[in-house]
Amino acid sequence: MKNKLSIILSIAASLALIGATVFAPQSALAQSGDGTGYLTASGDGLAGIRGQGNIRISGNGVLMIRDLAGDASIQVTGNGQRTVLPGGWIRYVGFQGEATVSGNKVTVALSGYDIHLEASGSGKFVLRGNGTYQTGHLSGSWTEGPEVHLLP
Amino acid sequence: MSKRSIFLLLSVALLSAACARFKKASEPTAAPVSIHTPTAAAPAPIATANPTPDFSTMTFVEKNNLYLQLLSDRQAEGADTTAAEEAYARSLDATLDGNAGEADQYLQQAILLLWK
Repeated sequence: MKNKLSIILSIAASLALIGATVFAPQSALAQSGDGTGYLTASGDGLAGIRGQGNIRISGNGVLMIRDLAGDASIQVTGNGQRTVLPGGWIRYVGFQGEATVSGNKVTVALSGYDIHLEASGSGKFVLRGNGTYQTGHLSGSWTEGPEVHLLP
Repeated sequence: MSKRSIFLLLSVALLSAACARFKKASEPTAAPVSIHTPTAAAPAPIATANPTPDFSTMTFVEKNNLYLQLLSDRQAEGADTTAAEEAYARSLDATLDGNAGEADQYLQQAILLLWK
């Protein structure tokens, strides 16, 4: 009787473990590992990334940067009209140049054309429009819809 | 004149009046006049507004490019574009949250805020 109870409990525990693994959020799986990923992307449309790490982005259009942690290092070179918007956004209209941003909770996006993005760290990114990208473990094309990818 | 003659005259008069009324009632009536007849004092027609874009037929890149073009145009005119740019920032946040519906809704709102 005691043996049967042990077997039943073992089976139940195994099923719970399998279920937790199978139905766990994908982000938890994708963010396992050393926590640092790499991304390069080029294209036209909208490139946006949110998270922690180092981001270098160049191109033409409207550049938007937000530092929610307040610890970011932001360097912008080139042309563009800088304005601080409500919500903590810094945006450059008529941007033509390059921005390098490092921080623990930053969002960087460039909307326009001839966009080139390089990033290392962790977080998520979206690439809408026409172009290609590569990370450490996958590569693909920019999409029409807002498909969010995790880094790493 | 005798009473009989007066009675006959009155009868003829009443009969004539009744016939005239019956004839008038049986005639077709004129069609009602349109109440929209323009008059000299009517206000000038309102100029038609520029029709808004049909977002349902546009790709994201087309909508995004339209926003960028309108933003550039309005800023060149010296217009305040803050509201539109806030809507665009919300669209960006929704995009990174993976909320496609909200992202497109805010992008379209940003365009309409710049639209003339």
